[in-house]
Amino acid sequence: MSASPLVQVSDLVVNFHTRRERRRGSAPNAVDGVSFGLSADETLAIVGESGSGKTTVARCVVGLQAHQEGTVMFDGAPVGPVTRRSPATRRAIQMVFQDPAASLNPRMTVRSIIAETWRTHPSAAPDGRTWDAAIDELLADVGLDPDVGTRRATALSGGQCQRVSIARALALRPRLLVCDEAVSALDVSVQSQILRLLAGLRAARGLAILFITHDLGVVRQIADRVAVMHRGRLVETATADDLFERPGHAYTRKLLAAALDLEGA
Amino acid sequence: MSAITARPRLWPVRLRSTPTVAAVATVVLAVYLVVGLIGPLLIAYDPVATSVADRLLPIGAVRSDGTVALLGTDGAGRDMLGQLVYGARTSIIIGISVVAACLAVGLAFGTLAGYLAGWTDVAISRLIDILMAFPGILLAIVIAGLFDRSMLVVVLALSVAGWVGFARLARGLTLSLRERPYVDAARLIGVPTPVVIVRHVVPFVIGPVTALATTEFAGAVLSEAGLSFLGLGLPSATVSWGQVIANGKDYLDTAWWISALPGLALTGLVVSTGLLGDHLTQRLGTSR
Repeated sequence: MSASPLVQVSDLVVNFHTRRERRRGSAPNAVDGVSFGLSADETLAIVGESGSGKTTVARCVVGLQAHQEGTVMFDGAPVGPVTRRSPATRRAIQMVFQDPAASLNPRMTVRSIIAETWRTHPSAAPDGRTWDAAIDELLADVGLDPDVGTRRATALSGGQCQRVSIARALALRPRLLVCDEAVSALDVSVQSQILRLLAGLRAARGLAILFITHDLGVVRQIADRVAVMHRGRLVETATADDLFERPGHAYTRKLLAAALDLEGA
Repeated sequence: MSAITARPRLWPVRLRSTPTVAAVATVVLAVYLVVGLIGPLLIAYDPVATSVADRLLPIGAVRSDGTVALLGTDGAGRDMLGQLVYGARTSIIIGISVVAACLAVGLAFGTLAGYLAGWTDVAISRLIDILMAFPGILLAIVIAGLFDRSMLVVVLALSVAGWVGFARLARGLTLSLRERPYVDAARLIGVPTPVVIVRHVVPFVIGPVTALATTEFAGAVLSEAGLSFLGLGLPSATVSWGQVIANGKDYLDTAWWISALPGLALTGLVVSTGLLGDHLTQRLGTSR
């Protein structure tokens, strides 16, 4: 792990208050003073129940959600909304979404979806090879046959869609991959395939991964460190082993106990 | 539990939803299109030439030159068949022009408002509200009355408020589409906003908007006829069904065909377009 983090989130505050709520000042923040760092080559999982604010944090990191307070630093420089980021920063931070099918334009073929990334960032386009050959190679990297390239998302399974989504993100050779509940919508066997794929890609490409999930089983498989969120706050951050062996916060213990209950049931 | 009440329907359910009805409507519209586009090439008709000897001839009567007036003549001796055929062309040209202009403006404003949100949305939405506060036909009458009569003025007068329906539909659909993960993914990659709108939003808006276009086409044809009936539409050198109906209103008891035939032609075109529009709206999965 390198000394300075690739991503540093400090005192992040996000709220979706209406004007009346703002005047009264009573409604809670969706994200309330969250801080964490993520090093290159590291996988940090953010866990928590639904509505705890973990997806909002992820969307702030990628720049799809504006925040009211705090900073998001990438590679030592503050980054704002995605529309104001430099092309290099946009390339460097990519996301895999929760709903595999909905994250691909149903009117476009897989080839045109991937080619769109290179049309937007010609500097990331493959050198010395045709785009078709590069797309075939990329599809092979995520475990897909080349013939998938001519199909549309509507003709693909959930697992295939998620692999295409990962391929689209990888096409830009990102340094940080944010996975927002990326395996939640998939069945268990496909989940483990995608997790193995992500772990392999991380090792091969030196990716940092911010993994958002509510599934502690998934966390155990993929995360180096885990941050636990509860009602918009980060209540505990620990290495995966420490968190599962010696949970420090009462909410973490409750979360683990709930997961164990489910496994035992 | 609260009851869900259906929107009252203008047409009987079976008439609206049957594919056979839609097919018949399509055939009728095709006939209008062929008559409007090819008819003027086959029938010679001069809208300003009059013949006193051939005034008010009934259907099938023989004219002074020995030819048969298949659908009779009007109060100035002009051939009714020629007026119907040339009127069809006028209606189709006006309808298509108005719908094309409204669709282009409405789609552009609606998708921009829905996608960009914020102040752009507020400005466009308020403009829509203002235009909706005026009755469209009244606004068209005012605009048509301000300028010399011409086809361009009629198209402009009908388009000024006509784009609002398209913009509202496009805005509503875009508001939902902009939240789709594939649109987020495109933004995240850095695809420029105009490209995101054209590639990831418009293809999903165009279907419902096209369905609306058919209904708006009927509205544009009716409005043009209304303007021409009032003498505010097209110049007298251009045949309009509205104008022909107005010409015949003084002869309703003696020469009914002058007003009735263009009235029937207008009804046929509007009803067929409405039925096809309803069918398309149902098939494309949305309504206004």
